[in-house]
Amino acid sequence: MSGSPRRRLRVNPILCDGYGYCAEIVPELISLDDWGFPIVDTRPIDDDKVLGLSDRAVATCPRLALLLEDVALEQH
Amino acid sequence: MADHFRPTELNALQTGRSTPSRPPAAVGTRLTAGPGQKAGYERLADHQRRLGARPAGGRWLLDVLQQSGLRGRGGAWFPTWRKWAAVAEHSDGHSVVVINASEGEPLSAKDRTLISLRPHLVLDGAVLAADTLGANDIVVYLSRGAQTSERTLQSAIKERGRAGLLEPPMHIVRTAHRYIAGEASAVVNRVSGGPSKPRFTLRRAAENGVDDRPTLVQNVETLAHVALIARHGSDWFRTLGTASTPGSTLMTLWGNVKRPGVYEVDLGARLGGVLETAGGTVSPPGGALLGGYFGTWLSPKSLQDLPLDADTLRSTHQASLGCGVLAVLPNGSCGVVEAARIFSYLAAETAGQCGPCVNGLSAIAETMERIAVSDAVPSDLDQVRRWVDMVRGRGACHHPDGAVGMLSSALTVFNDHLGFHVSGQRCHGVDVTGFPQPPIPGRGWR
Amino acid sequence: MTAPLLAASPSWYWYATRGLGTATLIVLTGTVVLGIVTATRWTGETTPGFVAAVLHRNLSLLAAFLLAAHVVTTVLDPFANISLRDSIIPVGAAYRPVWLGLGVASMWIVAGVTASSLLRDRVGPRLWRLIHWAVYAAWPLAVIHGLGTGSDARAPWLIAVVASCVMAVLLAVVVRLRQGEPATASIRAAATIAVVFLVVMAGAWALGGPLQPGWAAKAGTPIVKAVAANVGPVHPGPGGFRDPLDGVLVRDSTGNVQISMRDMVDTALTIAIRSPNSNETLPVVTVARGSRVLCTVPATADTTLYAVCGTTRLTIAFSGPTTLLKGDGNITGWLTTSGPLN
Repeated sequence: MSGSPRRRLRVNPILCDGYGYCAEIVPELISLDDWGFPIVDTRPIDDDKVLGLSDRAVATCPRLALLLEDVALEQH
Repeated sequence: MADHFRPTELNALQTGRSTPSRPPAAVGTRLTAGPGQKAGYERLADHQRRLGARPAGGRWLLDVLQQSGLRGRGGAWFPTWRKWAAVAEHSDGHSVVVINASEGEPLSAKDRTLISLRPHLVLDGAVLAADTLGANDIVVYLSRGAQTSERTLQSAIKERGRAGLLEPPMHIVRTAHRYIAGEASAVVNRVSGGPSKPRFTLRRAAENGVDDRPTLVQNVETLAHVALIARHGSDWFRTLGTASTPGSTLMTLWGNVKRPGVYEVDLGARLGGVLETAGGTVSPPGGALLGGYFGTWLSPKSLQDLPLDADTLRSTHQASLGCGVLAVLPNGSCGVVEAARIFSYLAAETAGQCGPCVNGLSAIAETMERIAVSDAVPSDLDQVRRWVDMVRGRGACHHPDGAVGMLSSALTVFNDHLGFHVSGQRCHGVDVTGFPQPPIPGRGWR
Repeated sequence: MTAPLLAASPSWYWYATRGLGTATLIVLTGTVVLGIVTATRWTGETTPGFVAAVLHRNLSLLAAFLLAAHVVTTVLDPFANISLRDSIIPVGAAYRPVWLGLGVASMWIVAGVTASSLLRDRVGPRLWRLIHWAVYAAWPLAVIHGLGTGSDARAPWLIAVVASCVMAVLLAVVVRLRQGEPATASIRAAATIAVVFLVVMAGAWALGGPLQPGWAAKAGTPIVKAVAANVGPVHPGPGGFRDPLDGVLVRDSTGNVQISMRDMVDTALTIAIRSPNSNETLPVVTVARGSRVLCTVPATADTTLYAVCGTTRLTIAFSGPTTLLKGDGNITGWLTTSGPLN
């Protein structure tokens, strides 16, 4: 049984101002649209290296718009 | 300046009455039972005499609502009992019930009609919700300029106070009349004192809403149905409608119909029956928009037999009743042109908060405007489709999704006709005003 | 009038704080420039944009540390007599109060910006941005503070450093405004006007003030009491003594010279020399022990001064080239006496 929960990237589109640093740091999960805003792959992250890069991207965002959230077992 | 359609602008505001000449399948009389329109709003005494006193809410009502299968009438058709259950889970007696009466959809008139005629049904529903969910505050969320609704509600609230009903305090919060102001997180934002703009939150309003309290945001019509279900039971509710979409609903019929207005409709009926109730179309229909500005386009052929059942609509036609608007196009109008007009309005009515939405909708709108006047080439259409996929799901709320959804359905339903628009051939639909022009986008956010 | 008493001689702290202050200005300039680079969404061909953002953050922390060290060494330095209170409250210091106060104000802004950035999650995006804009006040305040309080204002190396810093920031600001950042035209217009105004005013002030001789006196360098180090008589007599002297020479705008020196062996003993004013023809020497004036007497005017204090004859000789006397700054010498000065 895995220990810690898996995590995934999400962007707060209201805070995001399209700096694009996230796409520079973790291009594995983030690319930019025609207007410079991030298209985020929100699937759970399994690769440790990519997870580390995602952490860096979250820390580097000038607007704190990027976040890593735990993938909860949601029931709707 | 009119930035929303007041009831007087509807040619013949009617609530359907069952008479022998009308096909009974299309018309239900539940919300619309009672005095006619000329009597003004139904006073508390008459309401109580006709329907009996309001029962006390409680956990029992959650079960009844689940059995009744009531689904939200604000546009999402989400099972009401589940929405309530989510709030109940987090409630500790300080929850808030917000009656969403803002009706930002320009084509919809059902909510303000219901309020101006049957406010006590709506308020009953809200108090029942407050009882059941442990809420100690009821807020009516209303657009500025909805003067009839506001006057009616003020009177109705005063009546209840004078009658000594022991109910949670009710007060009105006004908002600028914007399309997006009715979105759930925008409602919470405004009622909490901020602008009526959506917020990005990781926790839903049911858990963390107005002033961080668990909040129920519910459409006025849904609450009116709750008030009747609490009195008559879930079996009674299910005598109309279908298994997945029981009951009756209010629809606003616009445009190319003989008697436009607000009708109460049996959800088991077909669209053709509804149109007949409104007297049929004036001219051969050029198509229709179902569900409002975020809705789905219908080809003229599908108008007659289209079911109103939510699940069938979704699975077979990728459509939804939305907020119950059916706007029929006249003969000679062009669905592409109308869709482009509506899309431009929606692009101007963003909250301006999210890059993909602001930029994407603007880019799409510009290109669609050229396509509408046939000043375009096939690659423009490809670009539009590409941008539609790029924008979907990337805003903080569903505004961009609704807009591109409406546009996508237009591009699908009117696909055969698109060739005109991208080969320089002028389409005469440009000269025809299909629907009322979308209103000039509002200003301010409070 | 209070007898002019001597401040302690320059200590290690004084040099350290001046060096640290200059270093802070350089690093702060780099921080501001990189912040502007970030705001202009710069990306290079081989350098991704986030490099500028990360460098900006790291440099800002370094600037904060250098600033803290600069303040600490200033307070610890006994020479300029800047107390802890003076380093916190931007008014009312004894040493060059206005220009020091500007530095204190700048310090508080930098502290606030740093704190709000470290606690960014709590502060919230809007408040954080508001506080951050204050950096555009902190940086010019730091420059003016440096020119106003520093004793090296006229040294060529410092002029070069300050000029480079100012040019760097000006260039960055101009590039940013021309790029159309911030988006609101009225804000850009206001910023342009403010920049031009500031450059003109500050430039005129600098050229007429700190870069002219005599600034130190105008700026309010106090020749005020300092701590007397030891209590008992070091040279009880009856014979004389010869001790090294260390102190400052200050020249005011009319060319009058004031020299304040301390006996480095008998450190309670201070010598103050005032050049002749219009009523006198000879310089005046004041000898004091602690706060007690021993004598105020005329001396011969030469590179070596002779005076008689009570019954003791004094000789004060200055070390180093005589051109020292033409400048502003530190001065050393020797005191030779024929008897005790107690």
